[in-house]
Amino acid sequence: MADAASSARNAGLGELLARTALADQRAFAELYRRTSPHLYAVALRIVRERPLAEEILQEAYVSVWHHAGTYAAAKSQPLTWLTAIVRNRCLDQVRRRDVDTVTLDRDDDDAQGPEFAGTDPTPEQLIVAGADAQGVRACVESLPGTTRQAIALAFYQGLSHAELAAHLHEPLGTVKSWLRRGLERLKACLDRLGISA
Amino acid sequence: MNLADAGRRRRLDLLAAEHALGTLPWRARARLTAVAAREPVVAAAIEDWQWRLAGLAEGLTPIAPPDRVYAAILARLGLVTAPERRGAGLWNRLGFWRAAAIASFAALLVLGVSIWTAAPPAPGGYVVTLAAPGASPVFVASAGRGERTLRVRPLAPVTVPPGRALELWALPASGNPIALGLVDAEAGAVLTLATPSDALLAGAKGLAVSLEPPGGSPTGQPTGPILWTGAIVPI
Repeated sequence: MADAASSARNAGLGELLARTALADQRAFAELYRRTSPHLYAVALRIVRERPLAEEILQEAYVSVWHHAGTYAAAKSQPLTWLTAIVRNRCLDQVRRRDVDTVTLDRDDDDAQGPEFAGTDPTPEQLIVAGADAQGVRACVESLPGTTRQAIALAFYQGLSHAELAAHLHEPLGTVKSWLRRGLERLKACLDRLGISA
Repeated sequence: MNLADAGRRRRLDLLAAEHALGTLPWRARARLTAVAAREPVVAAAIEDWQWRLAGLAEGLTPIAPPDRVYAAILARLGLVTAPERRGAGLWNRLGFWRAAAIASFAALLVLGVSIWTAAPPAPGGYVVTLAAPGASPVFVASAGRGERTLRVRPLAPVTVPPGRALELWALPASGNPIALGLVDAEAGAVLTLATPSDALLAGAKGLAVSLEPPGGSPTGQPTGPILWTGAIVPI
């Protein structure tokens, strides 16, 4: 269950999306003003390069302008919908980039600037802070520590199976099965709470 | 559902979860994306997981992107970057309406024969094609001049989420949208207007369809997202 502040914020965003679908440029500007800092933070964490994060943000909002009418309020909150669009584009980029590079461990990547690395909480702290808004804190916390860590690293840093294995110093197969069990348990828990999507 | 189906469903759901979480290697990710493009079940499974997980991002500290990003978005969309004038929204942009009217008229030429042979109206009237911005029209609405009947016919298949309805609105030159009635995705609608078509449509900015609870908006104003809009073309 989303808290009251989160519902109010999302209600306003829903109206802005509806007006954007009508090609209302002022609504689009306001939507951008209110959501882009969040989406930029999501993108920077995953792609870790400013120009690429900016490019993804541009593509995402161009797509939002054209497809705002397809947003279905019944299925997801506006910010959730927007976040999914941006994460999906980021992941396409980094996974494709993996193929072109030999190094698997992106932790050595020093493109990560201080303003999106140093001050932020760790992925595990984030998963709890973020989960609170969606009411899935209990579900995430019920996962075993290593699984929780793997899901957090994948979600916030965009690590692949292979990168997770390197990062956690575990065999690939082990990490994969942790993740799968974790995702299954997460889903079962969300279903029990009545949070389907 | 037999055991094989259940097993397949479980495997699909796991793959969808890994796609949404982002851990699948590129080849597997690209393959699943391609399957999702032609299999709605797969696309829905991935979307559900994207939405389930996306809420986790709410804990991130926001970072304002540089101003050049928004400028680049407007440039890509071909929108004005000048400081916004008051009321510079869609409804006041002549260019938009000109384009919309031309599009409506073009659609009318294509559809004209079937519309007019099916329901010959009084000479003269109004036609509106309803579409999402930049997309093909999904409904055409027409009313004869002076008539109190507005006919809405589907032009393309649309999917309405279960438990939701489509409601048609007139957007007057000033003031709030006026509810015209519910539209069936497959059958369209024949709606009775409270006033003759000229009074309602002659000066209006257009028509719009919104997604509403069954039976229509409980408030008398659109409550769901506006799906399609169209300018009114007098003929």
